[in-house]
Amino acid sequence: MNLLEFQAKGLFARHGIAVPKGATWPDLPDSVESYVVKAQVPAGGRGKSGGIHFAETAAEARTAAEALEGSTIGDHTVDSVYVEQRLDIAHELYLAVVIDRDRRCRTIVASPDGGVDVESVPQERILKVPVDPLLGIRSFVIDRVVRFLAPPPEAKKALAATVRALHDMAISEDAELAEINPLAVTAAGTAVAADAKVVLDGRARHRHPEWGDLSAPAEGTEFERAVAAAGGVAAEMDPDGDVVAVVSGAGLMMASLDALVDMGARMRCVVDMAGTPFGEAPGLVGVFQAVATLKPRVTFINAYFHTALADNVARSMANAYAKAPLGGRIVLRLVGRNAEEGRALLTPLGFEAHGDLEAALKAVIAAQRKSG
Amino acid sequence: MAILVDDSSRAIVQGITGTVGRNVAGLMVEGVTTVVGGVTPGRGGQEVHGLPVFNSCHEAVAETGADCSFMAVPAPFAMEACLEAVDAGIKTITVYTEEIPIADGITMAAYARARGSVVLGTNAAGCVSVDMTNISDLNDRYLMRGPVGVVAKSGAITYEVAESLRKSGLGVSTVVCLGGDPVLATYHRDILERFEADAETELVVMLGEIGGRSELAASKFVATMKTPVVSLILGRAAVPGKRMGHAGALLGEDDENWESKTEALRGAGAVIAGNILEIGEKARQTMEKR
Repeated sequence: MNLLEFQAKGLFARHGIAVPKGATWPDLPDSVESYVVKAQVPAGGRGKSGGIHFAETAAEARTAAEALEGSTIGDHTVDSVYVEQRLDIAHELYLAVVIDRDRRCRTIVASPDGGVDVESVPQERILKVPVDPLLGIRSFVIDRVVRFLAPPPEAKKALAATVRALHDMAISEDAELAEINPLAVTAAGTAVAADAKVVLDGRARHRHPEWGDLSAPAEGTEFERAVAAAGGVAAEMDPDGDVVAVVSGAGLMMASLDALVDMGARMRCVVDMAGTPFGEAPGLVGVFQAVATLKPRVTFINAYFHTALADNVARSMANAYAKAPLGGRIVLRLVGRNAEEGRALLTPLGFEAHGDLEAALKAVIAAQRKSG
Repeated sequence: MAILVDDSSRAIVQGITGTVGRNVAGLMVEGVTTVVGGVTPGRGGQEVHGLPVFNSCHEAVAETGADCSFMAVPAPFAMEACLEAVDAGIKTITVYTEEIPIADGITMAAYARARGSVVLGTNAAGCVSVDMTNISDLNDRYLMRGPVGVVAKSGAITYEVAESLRKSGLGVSTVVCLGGDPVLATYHRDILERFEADAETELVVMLGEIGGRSELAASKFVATMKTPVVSLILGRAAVPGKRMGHAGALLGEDDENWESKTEALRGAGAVIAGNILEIGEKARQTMEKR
């Protein structure tokens, strides 16, 4: 769940990370000398794309906010505008806590070159310090980060506190990413998060009742969201493609996709039924409904089960098909216990049923040609 | 002798009173696995498929000598269940549960590795040493014992690999499924090291996918292996920025893609299969050349 800046800053403030005084338009922050007016969209590079404006007076801030609200920044419509105090920045740093998949831990990423796209910063100007999950954050780790950032002496303490707070926030809020860019060191020697990016791990929702009021912007296309609501994972590909593949398991899905593309299939999209024996999942109806809206020329269903019974899966498919008839040609590959019986159930409905993968893949290509 | 689990392994099912746990326990009882019980806190003293249910892993280990586990505990309780299993001395644990928070996966991996246990997952189909012990969602009846070790992230794809191998007359020593989540307790290299040391495994089929660096790290070890490796990376046709089913299957840094991983493995001496259908024949040809 990708949070907007003002949501992320709300979390920062709760965890003791200094943020500028701010308010969500039409409110304005009290008693500040000058303003920054910022479009709240889940995209980087807002400065370059016209999403950030500076204002000297409240009247100027209002004008800028009115102009931003409802405008389009990149692919996003601006639904909310955040107005905050303009800082007197002496240095701009970069600080983030990320998940390191390979080391299986959180890693602190720091650079003295903040305020720019971190991808453009040379490697030698970036420090990555893994945090041992069994030890947690230790002073030696924080000291190393602060030394690398080399702030003015009067800012060292504030910076150390920010490193610790950002790490602790990532842990207690289940953040996959917590990023401050730029982390402003002010002329007064304080460290303030001038921007904030937080991605929460939606799978931890069960232990965060307070997330109830945090609504993340919806991700994915309409079709992808419909499949997600039904319990699957979809990826749309070529909008002019002919073939939709619905597959039991992510690895088999990718293997099917790669082989089909090699053989000349024009793929509209792929759906992974997320490894659940999809015959038992109530979501199959939802997936069929979503697929039907795409009107694919060919739907390829590839289901291979070792544990679930394939005839039960076939019955669920027949049921889903009755509620959401898929147009076009349907090629089915069904394997597992009682698969022959399952295939026999679906053949009368017009499914071209196979057991062998290669034969099924060839049938998809043939069906695409016939309907093309 | 196969790897991770073998003839002497004694298995439990954590979450045995749930739907998945009950189902898998039933398959274990029917199959070849020496399954000695299950764990569900608060349900100690009950029975499932004639197997004793214990309140904790410590009790199960004390009473039965269990040393491996298939874990199908709901996500909110999965981390504690896994940590308890490691703490009780269980050496191989399949964490089958989906949707476990990443932070929990990190903690489980760290503790298991510190204590010398092997955790597969999170969100892993598990492992099976054919005709010996099965702590996975694969079904014994579809597996034929033989000289090929199989390691993949996904579960269903290994069904396909086993089938392709069987068509080419080859059976399997151990199948290992690492899981589909972004952070995994065990990566390809950990398993390759074990296959390399295993006398029964004469060839390894290694399937990888886009996202993460597990396959890149493994390729460095492949270059040192005596056991030949046949490999296929999945997700060549993936669209950048789209999650390809697995939470971990997302094109990330530049070299976490199909090309880099395939080239790294080819450079390390692995035989590269063009697609999933070719695995069996590539394996057979490679075996014959030895």
